Amino acid sequence: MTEKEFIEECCIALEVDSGSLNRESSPENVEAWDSLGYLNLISMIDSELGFVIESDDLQKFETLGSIIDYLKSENILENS
Amino acid sequence: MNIEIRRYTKDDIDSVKAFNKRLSDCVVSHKFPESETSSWLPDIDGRRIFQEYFLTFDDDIVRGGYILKHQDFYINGKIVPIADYQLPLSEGIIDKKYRLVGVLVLMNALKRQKKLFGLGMGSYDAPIAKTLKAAHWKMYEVPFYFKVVRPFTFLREITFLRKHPVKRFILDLLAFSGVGWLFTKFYQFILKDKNFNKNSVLSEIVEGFSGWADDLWDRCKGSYFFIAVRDSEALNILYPEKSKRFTYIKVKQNDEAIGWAVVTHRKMTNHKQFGNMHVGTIVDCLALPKHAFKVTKIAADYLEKQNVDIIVSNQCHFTWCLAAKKAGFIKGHSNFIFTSSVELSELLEPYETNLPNSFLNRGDGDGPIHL
Repeated sequence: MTEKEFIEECCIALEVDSGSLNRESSPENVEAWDSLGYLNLISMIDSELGFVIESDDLQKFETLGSIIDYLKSENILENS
Repeated sequence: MNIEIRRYTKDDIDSVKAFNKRLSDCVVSHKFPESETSSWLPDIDGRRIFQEYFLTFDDDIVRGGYILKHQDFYINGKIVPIADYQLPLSEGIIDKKYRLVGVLVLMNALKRQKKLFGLGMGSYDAPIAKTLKAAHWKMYEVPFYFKVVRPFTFLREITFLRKHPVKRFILDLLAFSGVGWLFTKFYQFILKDKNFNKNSVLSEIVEGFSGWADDLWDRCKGSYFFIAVRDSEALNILYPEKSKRFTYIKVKQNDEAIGWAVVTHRKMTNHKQFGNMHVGTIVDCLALPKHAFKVTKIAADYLEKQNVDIIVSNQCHFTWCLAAKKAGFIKGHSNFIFTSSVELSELLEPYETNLPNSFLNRGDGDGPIHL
């Protein structure tokens, strides 16, 4: 999955308009990114990418960009 | 944030009190226990039923917590240790900065025990229900039954039905005209099991559970797909001997114990659902499905003799549901929702078939709180 495709999947998981998220999106500036939003993102990453995010890692993510970078470093997302 | 989740210790009590204060200041009614050990189910060496308290800290300040109630269940013929996920609290409900706490609490609980369940929750719209649904937990509504013993008091005091002025008017009309009384008694008469011979079944108030309860458990466990272990050891932990709160009824036929029931009754004061009614509850019970009606009837009769206005019961197994109806109970709206984690749900599949064959009632989960 490419970064662009992943961001679109995040839009679906958080139930926000397509194209409304970017690397700078975070729980601070996306209303739907509440605890349910977190669970939906974790669930999407598990089902779409087959990758389970650990709770210790979850705390480190401040923006969508940091999640993307992490998934790339784990070779889960394409480094395009 | 630097979140850490660990066991509750004595040193954390003041921080928990401060956490509770922040919640209550924002009109959150839930509060976490202000004691590090459970007075009901302490973690004592060797006990198979106990509660563990966990707290979530952000830089040594309590921002959430949860309880695990560990208990053995009998699932499809095997004893499986599982846990009830109780009172998950997060400061995220009053401060968005801590929105992640609820998620971390759930992940932490699942790390400790993958086979988790929840019971109660109030409604599918409750935040906890939505959170668990997002985590792919399955849900099943445990049916709720009530028997109106005093129709006039019921119609005048049933707060949750009296919120709307029109409904209030209709209920008052039914109460003062006597139509409500007539309807209730007619309903109970037509459902009455005319073949039931009261004299064939004996009941005895006992102070606790012993060998007879073990024999009964051995005979009954195979009749239910999913049931908490209800041998004498478990029962004496859940329902201490000579309890002032509960009454234990042993039901006998031909000198053999065929079932038991744990009942309680309490006069409510401005209760959000029952107003000022005297409410009787069939908290827990056990029997072979074929004896479900006898035990339900004996328990209800006992509570009626205590002058209750209404008797309530939650029953999951279809035979116990039928028994309640036969004993004059009416099915009401249930807020008693059973939910299970992904790993536990796998053991319960197919859910829609196995849950109605499972045995869950008010004695499971966190017990008869609010009743």
